[in-house]
Amino acid sequence: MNTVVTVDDAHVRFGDAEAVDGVSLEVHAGEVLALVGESGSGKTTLVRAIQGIQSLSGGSIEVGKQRDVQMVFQDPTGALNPRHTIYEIVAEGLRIRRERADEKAKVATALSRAGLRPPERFMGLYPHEISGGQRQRVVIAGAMVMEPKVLLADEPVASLDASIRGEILALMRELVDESGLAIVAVTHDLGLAWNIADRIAVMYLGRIVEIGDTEEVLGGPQHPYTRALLSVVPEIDRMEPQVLTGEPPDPRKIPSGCRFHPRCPLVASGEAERLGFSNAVAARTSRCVSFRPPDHTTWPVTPLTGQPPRSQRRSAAAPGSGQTCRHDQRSAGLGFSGNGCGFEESSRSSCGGRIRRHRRVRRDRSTR
Amino acid sequence: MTLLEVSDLTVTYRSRSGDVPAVRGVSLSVERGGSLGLAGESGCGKSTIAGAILRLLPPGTGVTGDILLDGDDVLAMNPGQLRAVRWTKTAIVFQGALHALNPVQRIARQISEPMLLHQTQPTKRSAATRVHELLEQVGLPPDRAGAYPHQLSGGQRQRVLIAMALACDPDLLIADEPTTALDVMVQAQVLQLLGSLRVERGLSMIFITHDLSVLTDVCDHLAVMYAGRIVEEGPSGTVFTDPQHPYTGALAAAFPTIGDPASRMRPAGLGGDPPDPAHLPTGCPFHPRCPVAEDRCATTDVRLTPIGGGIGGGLGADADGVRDRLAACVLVGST
Repeated sequence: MNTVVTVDDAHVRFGDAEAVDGVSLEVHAGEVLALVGESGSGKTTLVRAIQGIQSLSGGSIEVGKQRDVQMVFQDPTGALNPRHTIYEIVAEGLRIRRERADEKAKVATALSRAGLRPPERFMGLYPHEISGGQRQRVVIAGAMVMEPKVLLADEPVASLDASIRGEILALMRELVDESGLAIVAVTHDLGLAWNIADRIAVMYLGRIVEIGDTEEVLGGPQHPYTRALLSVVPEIDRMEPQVLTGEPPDPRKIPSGCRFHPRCPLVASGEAERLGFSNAVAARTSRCVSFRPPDHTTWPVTPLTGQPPRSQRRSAAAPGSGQTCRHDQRSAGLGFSGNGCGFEESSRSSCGGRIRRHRRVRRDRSTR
Repeated sequence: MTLLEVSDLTVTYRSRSGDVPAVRGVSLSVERGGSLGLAGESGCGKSTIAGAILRLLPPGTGVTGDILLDGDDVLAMNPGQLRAVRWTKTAIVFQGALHALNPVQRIARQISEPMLLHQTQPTKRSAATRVHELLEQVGLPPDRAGAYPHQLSGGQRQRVLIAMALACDPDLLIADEPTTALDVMVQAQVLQLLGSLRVERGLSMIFITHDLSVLTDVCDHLAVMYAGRIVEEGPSGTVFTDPQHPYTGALAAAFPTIGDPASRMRPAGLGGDPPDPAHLPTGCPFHPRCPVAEDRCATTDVRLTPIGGGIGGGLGADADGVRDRLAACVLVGST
């Protein structure tokens, strides 16, 4: 599998605040990865670090050439210069890079790939002369003209109307399927992930708390934070809404132990204590300790002592379990999905994450 | 008992390039303790209706029809009567909490301002006590009363606006996109808060948003607007799960049901853009974007008609027994 972004134990520090606190993940060609979490979870900071406009205080990010990474911002009206024509806006990246050859042809291709056809009709227009959905397409064309390998999209549809939203998401999925582009979509919208993402990574206070195939994570969320996020999506009736109180803690004062424990419904309801984790939650571990192995992946449980009990050690011996180190997984072509739960802080070198199984979802183009 | 009764409301904005009909004949009503959801895209006129109910539209805007608030005609009120009704009878939670608050005033002062002006609290001291009560009620620590808006997060600012709207104990609360800029978890908190206020205080509400799924959660009754008119209305659950108008169907599908294989990897959109209110298409204004439009749609002007009893036409509608549902589509209710 062709890896286009490798994030290894990335840290970003703003003063006393650790905005990104040890994130590892890979992005592969031809996939959409949704990065979800509340404001302040560090998802935007991580994406800025991948783009290279935010320097790391630790760890590393590999992305190939800088132009291989392009960004799509949230508000298309704010992102477009009102005094430039669509042509000038889309050609800007090429002009900055002094790539004069075939400028017009490249702009035309980018516009039509973004669904603005025929491109000649749009080139001479100004941003105020086109609709909101078309403006977001211009922003995407401006990124695509550089022929990037990765597109970073920060809330790509949050400021768009409901009916236009689907069109833009369909366009993003189309670009990925046609050209092997990778998209990292930052969002708090789990519906977006369900609509277009192959994988989903849930962030809380600078860390990934759960990552895996979208169907698996949304179908059987393991971390109580993921469960809470999913339960408050309005149309999900089957789940009792778990509305977490308050806001994520100040990243300058990260709670000890599991950083989610002050808001964790399992701790509040006494469920964690019943499982024998009351002290562990507050004292030692940084990943959720309440997991039982789900059906679809092996999920090691971390006990108080840090050594998995014998029975779980055995079950963890399957490929992709906690005992396989991420480098082994990578060489096995499975693609490590990084920084999962179930392991203690001290055992970061061993993997606790889910494995992305290479599974293509059949999509019926005719019904789009 | 009906608290708000709007009948045949039209609103026309005057601009240099001509008149823009933003609302074209809308009738709706809110019962005491009831909640109505208004859904639609930007430009469909839903926020204009909110402005018209409290007469907050720019001077010169043409407004016709009747707006009866607790039996009194809002459009006939003189400025003094109008001032007395605003905040005390009906309050609005505006969208964009950052812009609706004064950046250089502490929030306690902003929340107490309507109370002092309306003299629901006679002294500054009693107003301060009430501010603390309100902040607690909306789930903010009362010690944040001295904070400036920039010191609060988006969710907290939205709570301040709700506290302000509740300050004079209104009967009707109009929430215009109250959660659009917020995170999922904060959105859930705000919706939970508004829901509990409805139960505890018997508050009536009008919710305005483009996210149909949010409305289904918090409203009993739903009206979907397109191009200045209501195109479908009915009990919120059935409108969302069994939409009759093709536009409602598209809006409902825009926010997928997570776990539903039909929407997995298939984002549902609607081609084209919302019409310009100054140049509306002929016939049914939705026909250029409609996936099931027929030739007659371009020429037939459609009005809301009741659904139920011997329908089937075109959309596989089967709404036997549903009497209070209306839709404006020639394909619904025809044979």
